[in-house]
Amino acid sequence: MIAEETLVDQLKQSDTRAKAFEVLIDTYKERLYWHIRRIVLNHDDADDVLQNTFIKVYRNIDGFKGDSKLYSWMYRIATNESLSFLKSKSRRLGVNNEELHERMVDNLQADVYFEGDEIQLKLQKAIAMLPEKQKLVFNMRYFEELKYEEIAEILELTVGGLKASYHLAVKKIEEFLKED
Amino acid sequence: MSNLGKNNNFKIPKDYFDEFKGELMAKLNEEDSDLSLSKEYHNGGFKVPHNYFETLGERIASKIEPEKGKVIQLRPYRKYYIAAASIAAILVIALSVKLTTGKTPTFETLGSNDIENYFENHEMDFTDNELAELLPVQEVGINDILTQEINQERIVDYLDDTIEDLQELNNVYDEE
Repeated sequence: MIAEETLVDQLKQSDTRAKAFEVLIDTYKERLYWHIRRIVLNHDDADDVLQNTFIKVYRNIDGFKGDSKLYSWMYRIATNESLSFLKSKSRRLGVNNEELHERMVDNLQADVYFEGDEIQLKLQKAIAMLPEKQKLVFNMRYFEELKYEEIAEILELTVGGLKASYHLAVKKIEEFLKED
Repeated sequence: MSNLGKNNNFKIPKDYFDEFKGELMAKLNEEDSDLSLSKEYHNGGFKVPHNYFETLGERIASKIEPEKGKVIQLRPYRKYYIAAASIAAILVIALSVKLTTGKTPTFETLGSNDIENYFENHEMDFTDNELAELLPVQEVGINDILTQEINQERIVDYLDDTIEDLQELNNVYDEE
């Protein structure tokens, strides 16, 4: 696997940019896709956001100073793109954030690209009820199995705060699943 | 058959070893499908279309336009002229609108035709005497009201017919 610094250098040079970008897509497409998909839930929306994310990375690579890792920077772009997408979607539908998430989970039952069982659907309902930050932290820790240090770098939060958020999220989800 | 040993009493089904490889591969394929299910389960039940990730790179690349050379404007000052002209036009329109709409009409600024038309087109409840009181008599001459000039003889005849004592009227006039 190509070193991150080398890849960044190649992305910044016009003669090697195209090839390096292909490598970048191949390396990160699946990780970023699943990160986005868990935020927007629907495949078509995830596809749109993922493409926008890579296009933004391509156009802004010259502004990448290397203060953080490349993948953290890309994750941050993907997260911001996903949240912006949901905001504009809620504006377009004339609903607030909570109503939008309820609708998104309801739509999962008819989604051809969702084959989750009853428990998985209920888990998604529980996640949808969480505040934005807890939702992100829970998905990144539980599904993506990222380390707290990695999540902290991506979301620009402290590890202590993240642990508290994750703990609260787990507690709320457990309570929700115990209901019924 | 030396692998069986001397005291081997166990038997195997006919063609067992010939079919073993095929059965094992079938089982492994089943396990593969179970593995893919468990991967989906780990993804929370979410799936992607077939070959989605294989074609993603091409689709993104097609959306990125090739870099273009820097465009140099031939007459860069032109945009300042356009901006200045636009601002001037907006100011002129704004002022003219303010001048025409902001003015409160007064009696002096009304044209006499406008007043006449108003009186003609609107039913007024004024009597002749009330209207006469509104008119500034000192500044109005007889010819401002009458369109036809009446000669003095006819006036004297009229007064003679309507007023009993014409001499008395002359006395009132003299006293004033």
